[in-house]
Amino acid sequence: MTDRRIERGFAVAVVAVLVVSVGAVVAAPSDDAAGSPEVAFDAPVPAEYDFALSSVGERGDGYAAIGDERYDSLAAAVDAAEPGDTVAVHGHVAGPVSVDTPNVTIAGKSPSESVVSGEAEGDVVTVNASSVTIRDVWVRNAGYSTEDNDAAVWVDAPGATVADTRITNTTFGVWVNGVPDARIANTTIVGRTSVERRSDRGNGIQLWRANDAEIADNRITDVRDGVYFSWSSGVVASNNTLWDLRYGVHYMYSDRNRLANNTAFDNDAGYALMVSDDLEIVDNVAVNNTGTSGHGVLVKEVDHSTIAGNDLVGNDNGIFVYNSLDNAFRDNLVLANDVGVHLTAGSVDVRAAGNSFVDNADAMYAVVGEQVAWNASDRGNYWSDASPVDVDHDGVSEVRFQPDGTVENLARQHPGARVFASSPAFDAVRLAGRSVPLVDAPGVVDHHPLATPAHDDWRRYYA
Amino acid sequence: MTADRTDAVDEQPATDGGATAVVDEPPEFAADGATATDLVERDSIRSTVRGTVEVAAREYRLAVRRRWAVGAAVVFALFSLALVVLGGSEVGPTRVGAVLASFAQVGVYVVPLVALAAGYDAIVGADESGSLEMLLALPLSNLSVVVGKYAGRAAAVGGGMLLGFAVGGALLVRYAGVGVAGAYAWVALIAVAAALAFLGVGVLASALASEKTRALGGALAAWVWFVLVHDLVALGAIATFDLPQWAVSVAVLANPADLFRVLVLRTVSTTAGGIAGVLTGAGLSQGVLLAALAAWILVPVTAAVAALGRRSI
Repeated sequence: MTDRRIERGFAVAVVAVLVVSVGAVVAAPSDDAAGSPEVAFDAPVPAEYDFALSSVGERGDGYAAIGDERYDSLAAAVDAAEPGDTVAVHGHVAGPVSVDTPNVTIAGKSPSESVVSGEAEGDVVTVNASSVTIRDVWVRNAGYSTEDNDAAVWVDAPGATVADTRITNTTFGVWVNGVPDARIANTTIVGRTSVERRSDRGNGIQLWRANDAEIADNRITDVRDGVYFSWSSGVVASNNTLWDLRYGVHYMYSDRNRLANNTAFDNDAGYALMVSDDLEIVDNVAVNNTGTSGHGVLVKEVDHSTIAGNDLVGNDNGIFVYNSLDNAFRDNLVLANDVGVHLTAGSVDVRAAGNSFVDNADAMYAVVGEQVAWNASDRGNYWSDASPVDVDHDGVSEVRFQPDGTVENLARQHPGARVFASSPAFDAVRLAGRSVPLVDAPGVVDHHPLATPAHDDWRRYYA
Repeated sequence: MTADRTDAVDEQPATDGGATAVVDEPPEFAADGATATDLVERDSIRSTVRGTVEVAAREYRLAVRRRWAVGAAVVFALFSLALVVLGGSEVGPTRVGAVLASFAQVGVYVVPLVALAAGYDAIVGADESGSLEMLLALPLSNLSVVVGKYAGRAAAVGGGMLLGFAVGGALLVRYAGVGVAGAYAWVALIAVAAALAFLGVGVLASALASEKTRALGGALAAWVWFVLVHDLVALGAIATFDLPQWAVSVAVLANPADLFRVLVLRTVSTTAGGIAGVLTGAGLSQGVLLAALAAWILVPVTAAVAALGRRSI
């Protein structure tokens, strides 16, 4: 009799659970199948700039003044200025204007109250004399031609300063044309979204043979490249915010430069380093750079450079290294990228240690014909996919880790094979390749993987 | 006692139009005049169904009395509790995904093992104990015997699994809120469906084997093949022969363990660029995968019916 009761009770319980389960499945939304976890990133800039001209009236309504002397046009005031004079801009005045006297300052009250508008042709402000300063104005409406290098501010003399300025409706923002010691600080540059393709727009800041320039605290968006370096050395670019661009920062043929504390997000590529030498790329942030090239940092034919302390988060490739030698890659956080590091074209001697590779779909994609060590003599990197074995509690695993081995290569060559990911067979082959050097498959190996992340606070990107 | 048993059978789906089944009598076997062929056919269908239900009820009863159902419930309660406690200590949306993914990773070993163990002696065990001979002496078709035995054990083991999963599910809901219940129930139901497929494979091994030990060997060989070797062979073939995409899809469909794994993993997005995109690219929609799993339940049982027909009792 009890048996019978158990049988029936069991059947009733099963039917009840079955009904509940089916109900729960049917009720639950089932479209969470695709997509990667979103990186939580609070941009330090507004999503859309909304600059209004309404408070300053029509172009030409305003005036310029030197001391108490009032001029109807900015050009007249600038022509009359002596070295050391400050030309004050009141309201909405007309460009273009050309500064031919050294050590003259063009200053507004603020970018929303002091506006210099061009004629949608050529440059708006041209600096032809040394040590000229432009500050607290809004320079707008330059020409549309990329061939003629139409720029809002064209700098043709050394020691120019552009500070606390707003630049919009332009092809190039500031073009520094073969002169040293330019300084561009706390300036907002917004390109023309009406020009459909980014490659048809100009660059935010164009440095051509502009040695020893200083680029700090700027906000640059909707142009081609945020800051473009060409044959420029000794430039320090720091604390800039760069978004919705082709490349945030783009180095070409520019050696001995420093890039620090910048933030680049939602670009094709965050920082594109090409054909340059001796660069220092430190403490920058590159988030969600997922355009056609889609790299946090692109390193192409760049030698003797240091890339350290950067956060490369949620990009297609965290860092892409192409045909580059003798570089150091230290203490970077490589988080939630499709591929953490993509090594190719003989980039085999990277000195890498202290990096944290966390939650990347593939931590490493190394197209190399040999086995490459990614560790310092006593300490390597943290890999969230590794199973570190730290017997002596020194923070370093005694078991090596090969982030990029047989099955990873297989899955890349035959994407269909990813169907078998995390099946027992797949895991067995991977485990064998990762920790036991039975077969020395080509790829990157870390002989001293870290037991814990080198970056404690990586979770803040998921907050 | 008799009334009680009638009730028990009436709990089964009312296949005979709700008529009171006098189940202690053997089913009438074309006794009431075979005047017209359709009548005969209908009668034989009805008697087959009735016979199947009867065998299933008996098998279910035996399975519960052998504590299989409770055993399965305990095993999967421990299994699901362990995974939820280990994986869910820090619960957030991403952690719940990780917990469900570990159900796929660990369950792919346990679920087939339990199901094959529950199925391997269904026919050959009854043969060795003599009860199969007795069953076939009754007016029961091979279909009724095999499907009945399968259904009875499926109800006991599958039901036990489901109850066991409910324990871990309750804990997970306590950790992470009621919003995860749907995803968890999906995993549990897919696990049960996979177990039903492997139970069919076990019953097939049982119908083919001449001795119980051989059936056990066959079931273990099936476990090794489906859990480990099949995927290794598939990976090797993909690497060596540069197989087209459809071959990869066929390899997935040819293995109920793979079906279980991908059906679970496609619902969780723990890693960027997860498995869902690959499945879509391979033309393996959820419907195709579920149909394949259903086929993996039907085909081995059908084959077992045929195997019983060729068996010498």
